[in-house]
Amino acid sequence: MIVFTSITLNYLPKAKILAKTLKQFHPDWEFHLLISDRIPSKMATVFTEELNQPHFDKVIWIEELPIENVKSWIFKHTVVEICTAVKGPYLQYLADQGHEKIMYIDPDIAIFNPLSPLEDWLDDYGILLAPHLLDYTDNPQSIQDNEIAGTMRHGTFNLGFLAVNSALEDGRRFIDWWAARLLKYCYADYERGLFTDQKWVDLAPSFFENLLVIRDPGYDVASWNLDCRHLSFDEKGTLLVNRDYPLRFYHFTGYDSGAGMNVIASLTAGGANTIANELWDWYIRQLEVNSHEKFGKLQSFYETYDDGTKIEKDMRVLYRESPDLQRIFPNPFDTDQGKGGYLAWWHKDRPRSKQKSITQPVAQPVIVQVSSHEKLQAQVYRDMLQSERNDRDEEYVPMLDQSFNAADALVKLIAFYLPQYHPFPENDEWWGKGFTEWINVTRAVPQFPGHYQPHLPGELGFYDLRLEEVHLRQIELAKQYGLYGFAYYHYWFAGKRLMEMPVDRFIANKKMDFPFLLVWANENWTRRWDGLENDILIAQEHSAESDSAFIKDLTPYLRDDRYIRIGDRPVGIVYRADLLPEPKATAERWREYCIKNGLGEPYLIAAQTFGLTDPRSVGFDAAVQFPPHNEWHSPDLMIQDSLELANPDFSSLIFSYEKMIEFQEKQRKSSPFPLYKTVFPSWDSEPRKPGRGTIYAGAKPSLYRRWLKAACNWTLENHKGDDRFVFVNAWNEWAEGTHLEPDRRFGYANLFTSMDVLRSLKEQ
Amino acid sequence: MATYRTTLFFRRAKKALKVLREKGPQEFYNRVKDFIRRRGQIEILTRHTAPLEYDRVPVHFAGKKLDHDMLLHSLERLKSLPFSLALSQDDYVHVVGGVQLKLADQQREMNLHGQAYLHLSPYLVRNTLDFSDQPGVMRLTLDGQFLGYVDDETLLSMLATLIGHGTLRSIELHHLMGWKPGYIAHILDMAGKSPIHLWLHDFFSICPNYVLLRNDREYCHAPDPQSNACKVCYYGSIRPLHYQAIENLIQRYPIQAVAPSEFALELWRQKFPVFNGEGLVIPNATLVWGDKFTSTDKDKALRVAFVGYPVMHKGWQTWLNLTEKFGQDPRYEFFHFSADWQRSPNFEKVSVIVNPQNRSAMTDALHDNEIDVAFLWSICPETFSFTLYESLAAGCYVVTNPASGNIQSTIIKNPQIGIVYLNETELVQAFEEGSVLRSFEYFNFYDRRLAKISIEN
Repeated sequence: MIVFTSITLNYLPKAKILAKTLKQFHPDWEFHLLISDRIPSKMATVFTEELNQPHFDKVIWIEELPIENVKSWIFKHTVVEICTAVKGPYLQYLADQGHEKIMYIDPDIAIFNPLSPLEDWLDDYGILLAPHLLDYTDNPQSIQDNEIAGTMRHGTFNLGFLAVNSALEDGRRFIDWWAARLLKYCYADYERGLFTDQKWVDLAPSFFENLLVIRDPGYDVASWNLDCRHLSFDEKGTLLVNRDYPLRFYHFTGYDSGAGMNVIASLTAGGANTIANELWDWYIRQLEVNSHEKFGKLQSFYETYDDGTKIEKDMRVLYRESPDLQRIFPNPFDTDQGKGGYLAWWHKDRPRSKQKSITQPVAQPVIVQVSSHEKLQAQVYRDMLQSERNDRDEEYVPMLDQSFNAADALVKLIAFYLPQYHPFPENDEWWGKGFTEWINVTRAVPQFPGHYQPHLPGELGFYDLRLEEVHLRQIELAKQYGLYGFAYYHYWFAGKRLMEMPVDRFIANKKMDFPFLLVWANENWTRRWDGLENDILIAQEHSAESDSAFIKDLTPYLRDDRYIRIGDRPVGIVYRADLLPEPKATAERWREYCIKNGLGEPYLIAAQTFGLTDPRSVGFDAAVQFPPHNEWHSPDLMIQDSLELANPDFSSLIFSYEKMIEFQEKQRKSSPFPLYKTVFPSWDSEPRKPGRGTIYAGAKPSLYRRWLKAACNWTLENHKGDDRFVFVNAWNEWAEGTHLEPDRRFGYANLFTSMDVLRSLKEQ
Repeated sequence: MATYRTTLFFRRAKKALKVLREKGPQEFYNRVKDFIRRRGQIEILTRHTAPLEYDRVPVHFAGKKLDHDMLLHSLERLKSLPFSLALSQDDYVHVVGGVQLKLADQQREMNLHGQAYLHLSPYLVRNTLDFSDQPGVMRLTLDGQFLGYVDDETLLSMLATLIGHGTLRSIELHHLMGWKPGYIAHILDMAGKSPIHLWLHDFFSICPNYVLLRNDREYCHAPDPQSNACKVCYYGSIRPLHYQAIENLIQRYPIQAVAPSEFALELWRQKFPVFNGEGLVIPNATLVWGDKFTSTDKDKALRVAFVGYPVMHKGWQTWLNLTEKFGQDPRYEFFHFSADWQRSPNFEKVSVIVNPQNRSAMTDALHDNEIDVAFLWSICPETFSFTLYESLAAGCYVVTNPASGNIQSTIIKNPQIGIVYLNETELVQAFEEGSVLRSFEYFNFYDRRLAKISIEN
């Protein structure tokens, strides 16, 4: 038999009492001490001596247990919670080591008579549980204290005791089930119906048949059941419960708070059950003998950050509710000598509102290997339903009441902005009345298990950019999360403009205080969305005249004091410089015009699209990456052969987002010409090109973080002036499956991640 | 403990102030009232008996100390004069108490028979055996005359010389409190063929708690030292060591047990199964019954008295409960006879001081006050109970319980002179229903006698 208890070091005196009283009856049982703490350096000698006493056969420390990200896991719990949570994994660990009969006993228990019956019962039962109450009284105080406030709130069984036989099937199943629950849900969170490890076990009698509820009142006598358990001595001096049952163990709960003694004082008032007083008197004496005065008030190592600051419960709660925080701060105790870490984030940027996070972890869609196509389709369908019903990913980040000023960032993050999302006559004509990009966005369906489609908007909804409020809110969000500016697409076809309304309104409204630049989307407007790329709806016309007309039309924008400049040079991007018949001449004309008109020499940036990489070849000043154009479409990154597709006609290219990130992280070489990095948080053009698009599967904020960080660091290394731009594609390309705007699955995670990377940057 | 109690106090005080601040004065008042009501319980909960002193280190000695030659000179006459060597816990000449009185009587008697009486007691007074390894100092008295103090090593060597002259007649182990078991053994080694008497004035040889009350609360029946009862008992921490030491002496030496009652001897034998020596019963006193008498005033209330010191192990709490319940009941009148007393509206106080010069003071007072019933509710086993004899001599009917040792034993053997109620509930019931009145009436009519106490053995 292995018996173990779980403590922080201030409970050492209690654990000693338990171990000694147990060994008195069972010297051959092995006693393990599981400690969720660390020895204070000043007390190393005394603790080493204490822990080497023969009553402790084995001492194991929480960080030695095979628990993933153990520091992060510990931080999620209060000290009481962690001491209970660790019971499950240790039980599992012991079972994995081949131990069969295992018993857990709370450290504030003392043994009074042999526990041999438990060992015998374990021959037949996989699980032994001791209920808090075996009987009831009609005393209103007892109903309130013991039934309502006690047992119904905290659990039927007292998990101060538990015994299992891992060699029996139900015993082992119980261990694995309970350990799994405790790893994720061992909190005192009454609103969610949780009470540490204990409430879970209410389910055990339903889940496991081979379970014994111990009805002998001699086990686990405590203040909560004393009114139904009468203590006495027989003439041989044996402590009896209800006259006939030897007292096996007593639970001295509530010593440190004083609650235990108060309850006993009230229960024994008038001379009833006065033996309980004697037991408490004895226990207090034992604590004195076992140096409770010296150890009892020690603070647990995990109660503070490494700089000694006390960890408040709401710090732990926010951390455990946010997978993002857990990734950012894998060791939240670490304050970097008091200068950083989670604690610094907490003080500076934590959500201040009283609104409670509603983050709920949801199961990730799992790629399931199925043999028949029907099963596969059914799986995809189920995934979609699941997504509909409970659409939050475990990386979901709620709206946070925190912000980061772009002026404080070392890198200027600019997001490409699509000014669609509102009806206009041309689209009405070409695509049907009321057409907007949302029509495309919402028609997408998943094509394989785990395929994230459709992307459905969060806070902003299926917005209509005719509403100024939407645009204002977009700017507000962008500013809050540290973005530097928007790069609005500019649609200009030989003097004919499309989708100009949002940007023109922006120009007109100086209250929209947010930097911007323009990206000339100088392609023909085609029916590409319908797969009819050659069906041109409105064509570009490139000529010397149009060059002049174009730059002339841009004048009001370039003059705007919100326009993004490098020095005094307004920055402009051309999406497809390769389409310009004489790009160098065009560039020259624009420069000439701008200088002449006092706009400053334009800083021309060519997007790296359709094979164009070197801006010097087109007479431009710089290039900007435009993923997934160019080298991102590498066959090495493709994964579609490893996926089973629900739609046999589906022919989109499917790449691994993660592999792409790994590739990007390796791109550290500097560029022979000025280059600006661009990242995207995800990519999936299924809505625009159903069955023929490009998908970067498996995108999630934690991967986006890595890419953005790499891009920013490269920029810090390669740009030294005020042109440290990094672009994000995109703010709102919903139909390309890429957006910083919040969605229902990840919430504000992409915005939060962007902000978090920006504020974490350090000069190279 | 003090620290814990202090912490507890401040915790409660803080809580109370919070209540005052947040819930107002009425709730505060209620809480304080509740606290006061429960304080007694809390006090009991955290109470400590006087510290056990088995490991206490002797303080620096500052008294009159004899060296070997001085000692030899003082005891010179014992080389030719027969003497008994008596061991007890303190100075029997000056300390007042039942055991001390018994030693004084024995000394007197031996002196009358031409024997000397050499008394030894440890310089340091303890409430346990002495398990320290510190050298001790002994106090010497010869025939009631204080001789001085001597190192225990010097004393042993002196005793060896003295006993070599063959004048030792007996060793009287009256009380071993404060004695080192090993030192006792050294003395007993010198006994030769002289008898060794172990006196059972109380049950100290069984347990440091010589009245056998677990945690000073309840008769424990002196179970196995490894039992639950001993485990949780304050005295249980040293009882195994204590018991083993006494058992070793009993096994090793031809000890005769001398008890003041059959009950005490029988209980003691049960607790030391290794004892196969002779047991003697020498009562501290006997009753010489006088004439029968009957109280004829049928209208007078039953006059019930608590006899002796108002201490818990004599049943004081039960007395308080009883008088609280029936104090105003016209069927009863309650009295407390003692040198020490507590004020109560429920009973009258009668001051009585018993001393060697006036050993019948209690009996006389009970008789003079026409007490009908003596409430002798000891919750620990009395080895003898002089109070029982005083009460019986005054013609009182005795009310007691099964834990009272020789009291209940005497009543069971002589059921006409008293009654044993099973517990407090049964006692209250008897007073409630009046059955105690009927029991007394029967006794009053048929069996009531006065008696004289004889202390001649």
